[in-house]
Amino acid sequence: MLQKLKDLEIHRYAADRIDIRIEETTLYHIAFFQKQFHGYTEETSVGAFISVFANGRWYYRATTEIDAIESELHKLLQQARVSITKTDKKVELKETVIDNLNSDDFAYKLPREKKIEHLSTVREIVENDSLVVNPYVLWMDRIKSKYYINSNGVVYSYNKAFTGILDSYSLKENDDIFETHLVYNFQKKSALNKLKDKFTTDLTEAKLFLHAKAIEPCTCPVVLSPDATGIFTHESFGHKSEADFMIGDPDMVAQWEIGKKVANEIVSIIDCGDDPTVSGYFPIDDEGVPAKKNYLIKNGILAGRLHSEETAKMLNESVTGNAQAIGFTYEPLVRMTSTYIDKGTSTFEELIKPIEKGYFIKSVTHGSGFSTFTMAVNRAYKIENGKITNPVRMNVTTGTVFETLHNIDGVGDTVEIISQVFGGCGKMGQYPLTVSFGGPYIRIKSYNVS
Amino acid sequence: MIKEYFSNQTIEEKIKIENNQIQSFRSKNIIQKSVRVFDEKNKIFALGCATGNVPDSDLEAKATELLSLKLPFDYELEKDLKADFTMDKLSVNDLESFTEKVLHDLKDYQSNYVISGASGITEEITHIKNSQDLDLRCAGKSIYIYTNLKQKGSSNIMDIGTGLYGFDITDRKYQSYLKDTEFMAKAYLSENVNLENKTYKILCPPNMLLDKFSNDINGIEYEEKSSLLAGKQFEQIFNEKVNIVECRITHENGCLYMPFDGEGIVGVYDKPIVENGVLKTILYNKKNAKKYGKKSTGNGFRNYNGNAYIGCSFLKFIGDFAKCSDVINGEYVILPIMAEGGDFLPNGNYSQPIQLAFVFQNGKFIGKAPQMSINGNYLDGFNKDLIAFCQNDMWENIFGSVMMIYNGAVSLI
Repeated sequence: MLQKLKDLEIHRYAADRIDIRIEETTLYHIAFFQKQFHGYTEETSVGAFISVFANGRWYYRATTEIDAIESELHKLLQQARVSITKTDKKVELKETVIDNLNSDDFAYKLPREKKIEHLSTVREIVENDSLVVNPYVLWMDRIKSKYYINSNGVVYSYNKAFTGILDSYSLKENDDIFETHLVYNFQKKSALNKLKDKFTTDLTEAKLFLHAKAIEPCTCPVVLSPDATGIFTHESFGHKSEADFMIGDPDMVAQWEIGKKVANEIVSIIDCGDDPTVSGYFPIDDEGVPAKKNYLIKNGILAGRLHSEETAKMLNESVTGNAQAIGFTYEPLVRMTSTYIDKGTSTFEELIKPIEKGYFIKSVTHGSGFSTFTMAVNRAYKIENGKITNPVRMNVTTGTVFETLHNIDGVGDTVEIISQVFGGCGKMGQYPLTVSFGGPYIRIKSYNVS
Repeated sequence: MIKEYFSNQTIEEKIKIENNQIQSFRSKNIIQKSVRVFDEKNKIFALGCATGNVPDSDLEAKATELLSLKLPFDYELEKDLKADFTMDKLSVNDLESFTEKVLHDLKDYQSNYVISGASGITEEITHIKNSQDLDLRCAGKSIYIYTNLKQKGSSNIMDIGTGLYGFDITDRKYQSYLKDTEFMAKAYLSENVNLENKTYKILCPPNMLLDKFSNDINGIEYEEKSSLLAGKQFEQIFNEKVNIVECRITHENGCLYMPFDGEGIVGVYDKPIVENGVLKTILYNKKNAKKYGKKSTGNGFRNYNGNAYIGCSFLKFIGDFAKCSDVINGEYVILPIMAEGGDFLPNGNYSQPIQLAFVFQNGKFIGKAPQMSINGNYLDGFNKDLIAFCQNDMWENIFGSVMMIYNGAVSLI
């Protein structure tokens, strides 16, 4: 595929910039619903996204006809009023090829009968329980290969694969209902050894919530799990670090000056797309820029932001490798990759201990970020006199970003990153981008829960 | 063996607006296809699918191979019906000129705001046919523009958004969009009104409270009694002022044109769901209708790469209502503008964070509300807390044609 792109010699056209990205995506999807085999899908799609920048504007075209890329490129050049005659311009190609999938250990390489067999382990746990209603058990493999070239001579290809198992169900007894789910994302076959323990433990815990009482809305101390910390980090500060919101607004650039104190000094937030073991692995972005470790907040101080080439140029800052599209029909936007709060020094017990009355938020269904951020809570417990006690029904938590970042007064000593296979991040009509997020347990001294 | 061929083609021209001007043009023409093979004798089926113009014979071969997985089915497929539901009323051909006109008409706001957004013309073509002489085709062309205004100095991606969606754009609709934008742009710059933690009148599109309701009328949830409304079909569940239809053609909340479902059932455009407060219809697809001894309501929605699930399209409130401008008199009325991230508990309780709301007193706009969440129970929202429905004569392009006023408990953030 890379050779096909190199043969186009796109650097020889007179446009200011040309990028071509080919994406090959394979999905395997096996579903059981209400104890019945519900669906099986195998799909491989291949498509190309072609970009031409000329006369101050971008022109894009998406196609599934890989053999027609050159003619599609010519149509775009004509639309952009650029000649389709090649020049003598030369460029030195800088080629990177990363093949992460040459091992047989990847779970997606299992034959479909084996995958169905592993799913039956999870099915036995949820389908045989008398309290479970509407069990939905799903296996998904998501495999992606990208091939890219631009007219500056950047050429790359890389691939990645993730597998996920989801069980989703309601527990029902008398008039009480508790809706919940567990997502288990992994890459290697060895992770399947933990299936039984993981899903059994989860169901046992879920039953604690069936008759749990709803909380009274309040502002109180909370401890967030790594999962909740990740969603909080992504929704609260991560989106505000995407520099495209500063376009055309010099006041904002002054207000978001690097070096400004924006959080308690124990808080550091990092975005980095170079870890192939998490779903937010984007080693080179869709403009050909390599990933790097970007501190967004370092010890409470605003330390950086996420850029595309356009926003970096506008703010006179360095590119960060954060221009991503969700697929071959979309143009890149400034997006997060793998975003997390860095580890601190406290153990989980030390975080809980000083709280007389508060909550431990263990799992979150979804979150959103705006001037305030919100998280919809699935499982939470009371903290009373420094100990975790009863499970509670909690609906939504909300907060203003900077106030909450200053209110973080404890950070755990171990970071956990949560990958995504079934969903991801949405922005400007592009959903889902399979970013990852996480962090350690964190304590927030004052937080709105309802 | 019955063979079913399904395709969905999207042809789109899109213009992206950034920093008050056109930033890019994007074209796409993507077809997604599937073939399902049904073995009637053994009651099993399988699916082959692809993105791109892959020959049907390849997909058929894949589906036939996957029959070995013995995926069960137990219902009749549609037959003997041919129809073409093409709709093209669009008079705008030059998207670039249209977008330039919009940006020109909004240029006065550039002193306080940075404008971004997008415009597009989209044609969706859906085709389903099978070897039992079913052949249905639907093509709908629509246009949209959405404009996000970010106040200069604000750390949000956008502060207010307005938009225009339609199968065509009339001058009346366009003027209404400009009026909505003018109101929003001015109102956003106003001061906050002091509010307390207590119950206020909330003016909002009724769909804000319906996320859980659309799940509660899903046939599976209803029959398995995990729905809050289980056992209540044909009973009074809402105030008698409430009349809801499931709508298959609308330009409220984006454009929707869906004359038939993913299983080839030609639908009723306005299907009664609630009549005078009585729950009339529970939604089924073919598989679940058969399982529960019911008839499919034409709600077997599907994507090209999957099987039918029970879907619910736009729920529209109908009736003869007074104008909103005539019924928001009196004490404080809160109009939520941005409401992201809310959720419901299984008992119908909800908590809806409100990032931006406007406040009216005696029918006049008086300022912005502080950030808050509105809490309550959706069943109460259409019963004891309901004050009135009203015909939206003020911001139709933003909130749709019908609004409701109800008593909601406000907690300030």
